[in-house]
Amino acid sequence: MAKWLSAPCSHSSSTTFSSFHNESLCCSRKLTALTSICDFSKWAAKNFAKIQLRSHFELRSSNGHPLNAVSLQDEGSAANPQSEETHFSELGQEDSTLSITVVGASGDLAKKKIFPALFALYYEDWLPENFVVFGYSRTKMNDEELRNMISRTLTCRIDRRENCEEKMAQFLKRCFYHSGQYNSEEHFAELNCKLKEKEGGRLSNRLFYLSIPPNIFVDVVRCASTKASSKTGWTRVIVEKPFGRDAESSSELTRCLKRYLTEEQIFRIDHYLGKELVENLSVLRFSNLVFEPLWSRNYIRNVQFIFSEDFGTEGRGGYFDNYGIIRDIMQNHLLQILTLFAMETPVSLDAEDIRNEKVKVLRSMRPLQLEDVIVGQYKGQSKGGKTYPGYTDDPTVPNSSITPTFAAAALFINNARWDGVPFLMKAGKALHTKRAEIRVQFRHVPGNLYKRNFGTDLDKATNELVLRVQPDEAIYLKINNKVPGLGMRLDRSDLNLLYKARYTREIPDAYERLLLDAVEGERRLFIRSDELDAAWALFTPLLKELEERKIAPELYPYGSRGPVGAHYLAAKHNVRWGDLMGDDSHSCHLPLWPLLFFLRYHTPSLPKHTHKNGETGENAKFCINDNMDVLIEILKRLDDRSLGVAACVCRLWCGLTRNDALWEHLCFRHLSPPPEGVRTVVVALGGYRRLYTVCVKPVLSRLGKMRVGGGGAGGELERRVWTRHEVELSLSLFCVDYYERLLIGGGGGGGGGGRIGGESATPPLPSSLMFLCKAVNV
Amino acid sequence: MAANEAPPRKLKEGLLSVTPPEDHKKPVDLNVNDDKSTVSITIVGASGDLAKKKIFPALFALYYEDCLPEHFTIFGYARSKMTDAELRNMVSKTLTCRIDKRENCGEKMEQFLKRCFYHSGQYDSQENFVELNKKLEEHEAGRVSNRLFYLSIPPNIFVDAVKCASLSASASNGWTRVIVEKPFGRDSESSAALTSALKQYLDEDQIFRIDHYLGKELVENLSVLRFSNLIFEPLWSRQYIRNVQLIFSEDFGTEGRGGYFDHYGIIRDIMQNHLLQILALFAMETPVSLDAEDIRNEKVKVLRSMRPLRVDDVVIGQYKSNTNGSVSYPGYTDDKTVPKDSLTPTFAAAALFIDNARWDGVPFLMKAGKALHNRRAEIRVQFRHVPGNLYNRNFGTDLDRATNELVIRVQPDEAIYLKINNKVPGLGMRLDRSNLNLLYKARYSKEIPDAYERLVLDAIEGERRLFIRSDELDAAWSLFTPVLKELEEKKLIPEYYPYGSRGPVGAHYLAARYNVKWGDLGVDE
Repeated sequence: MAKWLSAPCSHSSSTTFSSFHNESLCCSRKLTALTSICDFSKWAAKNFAKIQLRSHFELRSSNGHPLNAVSLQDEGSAANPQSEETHFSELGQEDSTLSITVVGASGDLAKKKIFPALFALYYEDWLPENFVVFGYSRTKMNDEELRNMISRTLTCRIDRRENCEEKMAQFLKRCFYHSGQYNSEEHFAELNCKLKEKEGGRLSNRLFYLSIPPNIFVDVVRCASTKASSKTGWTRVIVEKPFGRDAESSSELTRCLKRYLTEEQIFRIDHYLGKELVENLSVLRFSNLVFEPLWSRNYIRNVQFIFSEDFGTEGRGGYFDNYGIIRDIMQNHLLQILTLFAMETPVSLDAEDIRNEKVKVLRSMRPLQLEDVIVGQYKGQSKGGKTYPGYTDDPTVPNSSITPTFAAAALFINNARWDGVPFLMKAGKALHTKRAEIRVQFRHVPGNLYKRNFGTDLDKATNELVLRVQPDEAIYLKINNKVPGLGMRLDRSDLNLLYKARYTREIPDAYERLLLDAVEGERRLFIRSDELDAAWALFTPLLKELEERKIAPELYPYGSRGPVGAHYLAAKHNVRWGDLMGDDSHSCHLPLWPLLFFLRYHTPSLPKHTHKNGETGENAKFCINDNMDVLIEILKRLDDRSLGVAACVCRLWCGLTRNDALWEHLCFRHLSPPPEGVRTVVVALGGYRRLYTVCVKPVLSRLGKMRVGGGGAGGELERRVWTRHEVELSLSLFCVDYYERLLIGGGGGGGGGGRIGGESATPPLPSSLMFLCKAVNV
Repeated sequence: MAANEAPPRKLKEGLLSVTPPEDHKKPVDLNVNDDKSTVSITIVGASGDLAKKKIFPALFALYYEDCLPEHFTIFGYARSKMTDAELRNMVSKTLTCRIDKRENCGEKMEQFLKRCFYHSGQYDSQENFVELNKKLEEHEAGRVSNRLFYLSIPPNIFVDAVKCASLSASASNGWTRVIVEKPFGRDSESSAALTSALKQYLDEDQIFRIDHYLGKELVENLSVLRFSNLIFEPLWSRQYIRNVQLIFSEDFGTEGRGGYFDHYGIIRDIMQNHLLQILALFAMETPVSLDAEDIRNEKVKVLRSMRPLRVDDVVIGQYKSNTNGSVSYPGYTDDKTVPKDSLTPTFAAAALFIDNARWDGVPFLMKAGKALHNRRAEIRVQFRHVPGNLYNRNFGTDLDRATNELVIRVQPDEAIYLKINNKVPGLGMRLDRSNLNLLYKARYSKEIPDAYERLVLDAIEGERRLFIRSDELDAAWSLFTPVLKELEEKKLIPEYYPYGSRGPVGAHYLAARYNVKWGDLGVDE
């Protein structure tokens, strides 16, 4: 575009020419642009209005159709979401310019997040026409080197590949570098000169992004605001966490910042608030009637905010050890999400209205008690020949550190809406998964008609709404549903909305949204000073107490599900962690204990009674035999030995354990989907139980032993993974076994024969090929 | 505890219900406690279409899944002369195994067919039924005999068959039950006459009026959804629900079936029974328990609180021929079995109201039609708009229309989904409607049993929940009879709509009068 050619040459002294050029462009394009000499916020407002107008129009066309329209209008093309975010900078105020200075440009965050986010915004035409990006840090570098550095991390969205290279080159042309000390007003004055040069006399708006350690925040802000703030337009400063270590240091920081900046100029970023699903939280709540009546203590039993990472502090230990997981994640990210979740309906979506409501929530929260908090720290762990270091093994961490890397807390909001509802938070590093989610567990159904059909667990199988923030953004609502088929059996299904499946476009990074908001002066997602104070007031006493009493964290192995204490904490408030329940954690097969538990406590009168007539034991409140679906579900999760034990309990159980479906499940437990077409063969050759005893078990135990030996991890038993090859091997062996039985006659007994999990199977005949089941020395 | 005090029947039922047929063969046989009893199922009208296509396959599926008692016999009874072998031959052509249960299917089929017999006779001949009785007794061999008669015959011979069966062939020491298919009369009077004629020979608890829509998986699930999920509980009333739509459409006409249909019309054929039954299930108050009588009491209460249907609230239509491309589809009156000047509606839409505390003012819209553009049956619940919506600005003025909607799709592709307003991912704030989805095909891998399987099984077990009681039927007829009478007396001309279209425009006007839009005709569908 022609307008673009003028910008790069404006750093030469030909400002008059360029402004003339601009003016002529304006004239030729839009007369209105000349008349409106307004500041940037007006510009933004205008464009916002335009967007809304557009979406307004679009929705009309997709929703409202004339009543007499019998035929469907085909407006799929009009509803194309991509047509939405089109070039609205073309209407932009060409007399204003935006300078974004990334202070700490050589740092990790800048490279990985800020520059890519700026590029994405540029690519999608969200940035105003005239903008410059300045890197500022102590490292000596020239513009070219900076561009070189940045260009390595820039990528285009997967769905937007065309002229990516070109765009990238154009973007890089607008990136400059200035090196200087963070506390030197001189250097900032130099920066100011450079900025002015680029601005070429236009109305200048300046955004400083402080991507630097907290101890130099104030210095930089002082220098920037005194020497490099904009004279004509606005000056805004984005600050990253940490905002202090406690209430005092935080308010000290705020006070210092306010010496040089007004509240409106400070943008405290919490990048979790820029996540798609966190943004969507308010939309879900306030634009769907179905959720409105549910959102209170009347229907919600508890709310869980879960954050887990599957890696430790690799390399970042120095910073982390000074703060700990509570300050790093809970006090800001999770607490912010909590307030968004729990706030009353704001008067409008304006930043101040929303933040007022958030502050109200924070201020009605009950002070956090030490007994409502669990802290943990991960320890080293060897797994499958690989050793994962513990937290204190990190060279950047003191060996005696008791900084928590895991924390769980129960919080309460003492207001009319949430009185008594526990808000549980959990955050940890080096856990088994990486995820961030919000889980809303609803109360049980009062007077549930279907209790009988579901066993006693119906009160636990309540509805649950899950917003998964990362990875794989999704919303799902767990409902109780009838399992299709004859008979009445209920199970939990999900009403699902998987973003990947529904929305093909890539979801923008949180930083993109937040940067754009800062540019536009939209403060909704930034933290106000009083909000920050309230958040610190909540956590400071607890943090002080933890540190003063030197409370030792509970150690948990790297890659585990976190310390047991978290479960106790949840149990204390009559809650179960949603992310650790059976249906969410795959490959979790219970050991023998639940069976024994049921045996011990719930079927005391079983042997004396047969269950066929109505009489039952006097003291038996719950008889597992009356709830066969539950029983079957338990049996399905048992291993071979436990099934053998179960078969000895009573006739019913014996009958159940003979069921081939259980054995099929056992055979292919670790293989999903189970191989097709195998069933008929297996059934014809004697059934799954036989397959298991004759082939699967020996093969599996052999493989297990081999791996334990190979890993050198001592007595640690491997989880057996049943691969397709092993299935094939077992099936072949099974055929061999069958034909041997057929030919030799006798060996293994009839098809569905008696022994279960028998170690003492009759030894195969000398000529048998079944030795293949055992380990072979070659 | 409830489980312990349950009477034996419930215990048996409990055993049945907890045994998921997909996973396990039933480990404990159903009839451990009545080893000596036997069930004889007689299908009266065995040579008919329904028997061949639905009843025998359903019985076989039940047999395959071990849901039938150990001793059972199946008798076909019809006027055609046939031998047992011929019947078996005929039946075997329609039997299939579920896709997921293929092993030893052939063998099972063989065994099943061995238990099928045929007896030919007149429907009104007591002698022939006495012969049947003898044959039945022979097969029962002195055990306790329970007998189930499935009347798959035209309504004009219902009473004759019932008379003969009950007088000459009812069980001497077990129960005798009769399953009756629709139509149950043409209006209040004829229905009452039929009921009183049936009651001459049968007790109320012997009559099983089948409505196969009630056996559909998702209709069964409707109660589960309502009563076992807390999240729906507060929503289920006039406070949150703006309207409810019950939609039934077929994409074919009356090919060959016109004679019967012309006599009844779509309102009697679909609305007065299937849709009204679903409506009653949807709108009923929470019953005291899941027992049949409790549920049916609640359903009758709904039917009796309904405002009498007025002609203004009904739109009728009839399809006319249509040429689409090179294919030409015949109109309703082009059907040879239909009189040329027939005014019988093949499409109808109606707005109903329930005048009780829960539903006052909420329109319940029904729509049923043949020869429309698609085939589907679904329940749509449209919720009210969000009061004081914060996002109005972002969504244009139409946010009040883009309300939440819960859709229960009964067929095809069983599914439940809840439409919610959601933020379109991306910078900027734009809302759209997404679905919280539960597609049965994706979630449950096994085949969903046919409605008839469930209903026949329930009849054998004496579970009456899904069958229509006499007073229910009366209430349903009294709702529709005045309108039907008026339509016929005034000879109201149906609005014509082309074969394969979306139905007459009048349906939209009807909906618009109550400020409703048909959910199935929205752009996003």
